[in-house]
Amino acid sequence: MSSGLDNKIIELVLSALDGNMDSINALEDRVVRSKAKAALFKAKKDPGKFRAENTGDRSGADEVKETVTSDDSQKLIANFVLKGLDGDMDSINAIEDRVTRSKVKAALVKAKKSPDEYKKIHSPKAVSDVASSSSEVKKIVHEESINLKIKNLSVAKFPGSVLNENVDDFLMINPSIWYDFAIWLKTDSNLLFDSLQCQTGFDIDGKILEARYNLHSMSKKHYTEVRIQVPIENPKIPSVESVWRIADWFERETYDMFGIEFSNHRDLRRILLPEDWEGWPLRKNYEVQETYHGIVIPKMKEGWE
Amino acid sequence: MGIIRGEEMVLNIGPQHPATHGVLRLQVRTDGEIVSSITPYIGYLHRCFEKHCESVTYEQVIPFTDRCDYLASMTMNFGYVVAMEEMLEIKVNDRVQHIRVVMAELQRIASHLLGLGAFGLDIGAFTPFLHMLRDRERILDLFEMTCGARLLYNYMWIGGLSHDLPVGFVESTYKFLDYFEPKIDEFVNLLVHNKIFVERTADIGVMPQDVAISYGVTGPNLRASGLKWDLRRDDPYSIYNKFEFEVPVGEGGKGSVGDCWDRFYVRVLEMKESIKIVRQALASMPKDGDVHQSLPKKIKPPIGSIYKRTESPRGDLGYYIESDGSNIPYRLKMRSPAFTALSVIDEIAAGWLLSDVLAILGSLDIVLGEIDR
Repeated sequence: MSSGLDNKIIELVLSALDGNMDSINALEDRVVRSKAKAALFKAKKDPGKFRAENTGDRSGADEVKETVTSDDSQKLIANFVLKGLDGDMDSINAIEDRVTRSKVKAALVKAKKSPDEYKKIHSPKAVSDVASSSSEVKKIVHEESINLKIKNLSVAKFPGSVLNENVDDFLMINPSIWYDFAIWLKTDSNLLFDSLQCQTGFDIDGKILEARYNLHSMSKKHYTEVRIQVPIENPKIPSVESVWRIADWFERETYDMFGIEFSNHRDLRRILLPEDWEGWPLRKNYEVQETYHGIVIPKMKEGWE
Repeated sequence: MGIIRGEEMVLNIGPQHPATHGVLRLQVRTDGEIVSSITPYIGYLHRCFEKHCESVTYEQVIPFTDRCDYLASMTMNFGYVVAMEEMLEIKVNDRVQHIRVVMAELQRIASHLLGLGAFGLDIGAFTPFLHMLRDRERILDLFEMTCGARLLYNYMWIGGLSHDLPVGFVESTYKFLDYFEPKIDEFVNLLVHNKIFVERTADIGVMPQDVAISYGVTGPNLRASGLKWDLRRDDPYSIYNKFEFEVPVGEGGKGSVGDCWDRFYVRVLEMKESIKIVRQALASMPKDGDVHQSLPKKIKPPIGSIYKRTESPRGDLGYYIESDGSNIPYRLKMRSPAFTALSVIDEIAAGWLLSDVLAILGSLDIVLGEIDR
């Protein structure tokens, strides 16, 4: 694991070196894809070396061992710092490994700023908690229970409407039933999402446009997020401006910036930009038009920077 | 005799008009003196905030947020840093939290002072405007003392503050609060019970609660319609759950619930509550604590998105931040409270006299910098 890459990426790069680029291009996660492409670029400089380093036994045992030792050393350092805070400097000075010793001293200086807090976090009981929580994947969860509830309730009325399996963060809704689904979200006595907090668009890698709706219920005090994906060639989503009136302006803004067409919107015009502006500015491939009413639009910043 | 219908007339208010609080064009269709519909045209102040954010780092976004709502820059900073800290899972120390709350509440008072003063100005009361600007200056002096700027502060940073409080800030703030608290009664005498003002605002532009919710109207405008909804109380961020304060709602003191007078009076009451919060925060503020303690060296949030709402003087200020793991935002959306408040004007102003449109617009307390972004 000298190159520090994931097993998955290495496999992809190895197969790409053999001429199979499809598996990389088919990756959905854009970060992983770009990482894989970057690794491939490096590997192509010296394919033989890359193969030699990364083929063979890759059970991952080395990696596991490495993380365990780093955890252990952190505990060790914390132990010494706690001793140092209690006035026992001799044991720190007696550490043979120079690197560890300097790490401990540095940590001690920091810890002395707020000794009580440090003790609270790193006392032997707490260390195990911290370690376990830091190893978890960081994830922002809005409200788990309500999304699951919506998914379960929707099965009877709108089968197959929620497209994502994992509904921790959001609900991915099928665009064709979105209007009826929105009315149901607003009127169902268990949900009562009466307030559309925010509505916005996203451009995902220049292939997919996504509309996101942040919904909140003033009476039930719960919150959810709905996402709808449409292809960039034909971005059409049913409008919900008659369900939540504020969607009128929100959808106009999303249309203005992303060019998502909200069908059945009664007044779909640009809102922030002039009517005759060309292009959809918040798409990732947007290029500013050359002139506007005979005025040349400057593209370089020279002159005012 | 029935209603006489005349020919429809189209009238433009703005874009350059003092009563529009910025650069806003209202296309008003009238039948005689009676307004039949209003179409707002916005975007004159569009500065591509969201597009800019996709090319600067997370720290560099903060000065941009200042310039969105230039009358309440502290709370704009506050909302952004709270969202970023939740995304990065940073815990900031107690002193920073207290200073932030003090600043945000002082800013709320300053913003309401200007909003109320300009509202009076819109309907012909000039003197209260001067009184309110006089007191707002004192708050700006406090901000200048803290960070050197009077309007655009860039004061709250992700994980901390740009400066600690200067020597003498706490004393000066107490002095200001002692001076300002009785002054609120002055406004009450000048405007709230003033017969001319009441005639112009009571029962005018009534916004029913369900209309307000459907249009996404929040903040003082929603509370004036009788709904107790305040993010500081209902979804507390920072350390607002430590303080005791009331959430004033409109009760229809001079007319019906949700009229212009209620929207005015709720703001007056809110200033009193803000004073209470500032006093509590100053009293419980820890003496020591480094304001740069939790500043991260590199800001690279985990892949994912967050929608975080905070209570700005104009309502729910939301930031939707999408991160792709790099140090610049993949997409950043600001949900502006004034944007939603302006969208309701066609609904509540239709049917009133032309002169009432300006009263309604003033009572919504919009800031065009934040609407257009």
